[in-house]
Amino acid sequence: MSLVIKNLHARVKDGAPILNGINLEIPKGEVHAIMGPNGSGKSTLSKVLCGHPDYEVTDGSAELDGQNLFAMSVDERSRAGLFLAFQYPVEVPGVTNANFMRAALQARLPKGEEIDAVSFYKELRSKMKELGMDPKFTSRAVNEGFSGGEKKRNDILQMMMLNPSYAILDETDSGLDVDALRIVSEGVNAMRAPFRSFLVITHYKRLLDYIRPDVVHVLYKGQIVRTAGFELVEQIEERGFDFLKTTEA
Amino acid sequence: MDFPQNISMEEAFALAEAEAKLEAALQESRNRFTNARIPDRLNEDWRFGRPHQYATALAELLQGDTPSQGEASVLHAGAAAVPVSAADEDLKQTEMLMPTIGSDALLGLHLQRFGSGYALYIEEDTAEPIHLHYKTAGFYTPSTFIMVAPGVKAQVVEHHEGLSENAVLFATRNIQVAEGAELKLQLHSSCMQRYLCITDIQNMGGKVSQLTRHENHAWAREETVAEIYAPGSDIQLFSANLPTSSVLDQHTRQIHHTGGATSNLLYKNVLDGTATATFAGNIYVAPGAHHTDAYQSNRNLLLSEDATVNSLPGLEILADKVRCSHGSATAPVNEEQLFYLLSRGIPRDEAISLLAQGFIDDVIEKFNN
Amino acid sequence: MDESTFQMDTRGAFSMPENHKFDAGYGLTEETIDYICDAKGEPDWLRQFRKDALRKFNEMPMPYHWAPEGIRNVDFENFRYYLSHGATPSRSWDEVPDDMKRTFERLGVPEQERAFLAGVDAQYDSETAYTNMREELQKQGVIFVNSTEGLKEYEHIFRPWFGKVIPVGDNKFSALNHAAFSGGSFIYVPKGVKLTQPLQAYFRINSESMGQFERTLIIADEGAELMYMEGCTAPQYDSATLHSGVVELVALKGAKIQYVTVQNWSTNVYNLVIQRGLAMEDAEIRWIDCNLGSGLTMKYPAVVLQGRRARGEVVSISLAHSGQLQDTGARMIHAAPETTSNIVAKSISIGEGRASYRGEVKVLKGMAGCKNNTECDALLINAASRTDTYPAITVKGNASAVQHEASVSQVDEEMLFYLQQRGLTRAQAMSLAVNGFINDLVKEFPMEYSVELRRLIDLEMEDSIG
Repeated sequence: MSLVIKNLHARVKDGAPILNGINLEIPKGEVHAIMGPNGSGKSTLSKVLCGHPDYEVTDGSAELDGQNLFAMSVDERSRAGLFLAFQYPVEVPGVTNANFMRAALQARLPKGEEIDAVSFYKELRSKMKELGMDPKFTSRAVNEGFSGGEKKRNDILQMMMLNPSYAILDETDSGLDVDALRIVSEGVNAMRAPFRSFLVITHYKRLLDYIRPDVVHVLYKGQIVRTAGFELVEQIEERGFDFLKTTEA
Repeated sequence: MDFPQNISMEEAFALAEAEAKLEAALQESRNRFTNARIPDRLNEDWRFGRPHQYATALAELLQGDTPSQGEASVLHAGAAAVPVSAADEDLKQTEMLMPTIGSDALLGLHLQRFGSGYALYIEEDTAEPIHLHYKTAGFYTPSTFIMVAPGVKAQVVEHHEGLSENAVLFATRNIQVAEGAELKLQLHSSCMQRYLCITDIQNMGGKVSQLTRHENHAWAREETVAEIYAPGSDIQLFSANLPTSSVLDQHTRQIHHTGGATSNLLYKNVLDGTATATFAGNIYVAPGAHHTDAYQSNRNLLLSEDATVNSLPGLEILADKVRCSHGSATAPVNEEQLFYLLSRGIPRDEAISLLAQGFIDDVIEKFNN
Repeated sequence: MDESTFQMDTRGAFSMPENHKFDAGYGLTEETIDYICDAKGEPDWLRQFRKDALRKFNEMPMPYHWAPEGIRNVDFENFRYYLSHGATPSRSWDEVPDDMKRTFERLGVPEQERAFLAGVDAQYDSETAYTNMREELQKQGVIFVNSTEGLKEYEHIFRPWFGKVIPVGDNKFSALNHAAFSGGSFIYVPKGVKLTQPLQAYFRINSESMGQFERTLIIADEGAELMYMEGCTAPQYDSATLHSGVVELVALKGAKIQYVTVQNWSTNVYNLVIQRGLAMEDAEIRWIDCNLGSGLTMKYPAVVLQGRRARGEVVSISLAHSGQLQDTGARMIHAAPETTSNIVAKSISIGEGRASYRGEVKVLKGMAGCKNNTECDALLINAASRTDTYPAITVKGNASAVQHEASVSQVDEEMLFYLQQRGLTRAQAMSLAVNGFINDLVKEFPMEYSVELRRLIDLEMEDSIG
């Protein structure tokens, strides 16, 4: 059981290619990190996997536990167990966090089955407490007027509620102060399990110090150019991404 | 005229002058009705309102033999509520003086059927909202008067309900809010073949906020005039609707006769099916009404390719030291928001209806705060 | 005025004695039209066409139900419909009659021509006194003549588009122009030809009670590009003058047209102008419109976005001081999918001046992926100044987005105080503030014009406040 990406090519709709043949396998239970300079295609990869309408896949495949990911709609992918913590979570005016989460959970239940409101709220409150979120957030509109850090926490809260089998964290560390980074990382670590894997996209070592990845990939010009263990993170921290270009040549 | 006892010459003169002014105003409004034409396509206030179809039909009904029949009831009003009677000249004059937005001829015809509805004289804070109901299965032409005394806090919820497919309701509402008073007003109308509601809010230094909601009408037109007569006044106008197959025609005026006051408007509609919604609003700041703060916003969410929005926000500013702006935005569902909901596993149809409801709830939340 | 390199205008406040060979007299009748046709030597079809238009004009109502009150004072009997020295323009300034030549010299037109223009058309009352264009453009097949010559010499190009963008019966004033038109430019830019320098028209009204009805048609063939600029001035008279031009633009596939107007009529001029462009696939039309003069202006440049991905833009500046109503705006009709348009309008009201924005944005049924963005900002200078905003937006269907924002503000007193404390007069401070307000729009004008625009605004400020 794993997320398998083969020879993935993708581009902005009618635009320039961004992903140029990505091969990646993330087995259940592992945490993988993707690092890479700006514009290497990190965020594109996460959006393409989730089915963002701005991008189109021009070649290659992606399978989620044997299912063809690209044959599914955005919401089907989510219900199949794929989760994306956004780099820039969107504000959704008028829709409260509680209603939003309920709708998302309800969508995962078989027809005719109703979500139990009491246990739902109980769970929501306790997870919010874990993340140090104000309980009032439940009745506020999704991300509306939230600070950058609050939005990121809210995305992690959603991940905790939805229990995905594959979670992609797209630069979740950006915009977080040290305390928030610790809280968010603890939340992620608490969710590490043999039946779940993570793909952590980041620029910086500091997030990976908290969420220690099993495998580290470097993405460059839309391709995975290096795969290794945690030592790669340290190399990058020391020498930046430039060493890739020189070794590449 | 009858002078009260024991008044000074100055007071007598002032009274006489006020009487003369009123008489002149009444004469002017009589002329207004005499000269008024049934709205036609040259009436700019009916520009997208299909006057030949709707105004003409309503005028014919008003001029015809169909009696005005409906049921009026009131809840939690205590002694404040008084039924309107045809003999009440003061109230009739109030209605006669009320402004319309392009429907003087129709108001003139409404006056000929004057004599039903309720007047609320609110002189104490309301413990719970007063509910006013007008229901009809046929044709009904009630009048509402709400007067809130100085410093009083009141909540009123007005319901206009159609009980048959052919229900037609033409209501007028005159609302006066005194200095320091606060009025929270809701108007819920539903299920009418044709519905016209003309409202005039006069604010003498209080705070008024109004939320209108119109549901399941075949044709509905709202004309709301909000007038500011004293510094310190504040008027907030809200509306939130989800028409699917109907014509919704909303016209508003925020009139600042005096300066140092604020007004704000937010009208939001979600359109599905073959619905058409028209919003035409105007902020008028009279000469000398300096230090006015006025805002107006119309937002529309279009869900269907057969839906139509007409949006005509307007400003007329004749004073100085004014902060005024308006905005109008009409768009389909925001793709990024939709993607966010989909990415959490919510099916498309449900995601769209969540967003649509959220679009509307935003207004209700702002009204409640 | 002085030795400044470029004078768009010296406020135009001078006149030459009247010296007409042709004068159709007051009022517009069939006889007037016969007089005009005879003077211009026009073919029968055109004579009939004008007469049909006259009938329409007489039948059509005035737009009293929406137009500003001031239009009720327009009395069509009190204008003179054709005044000219002859219908053939000169190709050389030396051949232009002396009074006209002196007029255009005072206005700086020949000087500009030498400095930076690709061609000039100078109209004096009803007819063009001078038209000329650089030789290399003629070799490339560019046509730049007045409308009379255009219809005579290039009927096969002109006639198929004549009255197609703005039909005779579009409104009362288009019917009027179709009946009485004279002067204006006909321009054709062949496929792929891109003009690097602007073409310019200068409209001068010299005579009292004049009615000027120029007619301009610009066709940019596929991939062609051009910029056209027009300037207008007239002397101040006690009686009213009417300027009611019609301008039609056709931008074929991938073509670009920029049309720049700097209008500085005297305040006795009614400026009631219809300007509309048709943008085909991937074409772009921009109206850059500045209204400083005239007592009553009604002018709403329009773009009909007729081809997929066509773009339209209106950039509008208007300035109204006491005795002026600038009723200006824009219209954008999205008649093809994926079309985009943009409107930016800024107005300044001074003294008892009134500036109104009136606009229409329409997305027709079934047109997906259309976008419009409109911004209107008004600046009020005095307590008695007035501003209005009247947009009308219609959107059909759920695949297009239209957005409109408008605001009204005053010059910040704190800022004026700050500037005055540093030694500027109030008028100078105000002028700086006003220039700041329209700065981003002035940049849209060609450099030579923007310098002049700023100077004119300074003059206005000094007059009203200094």
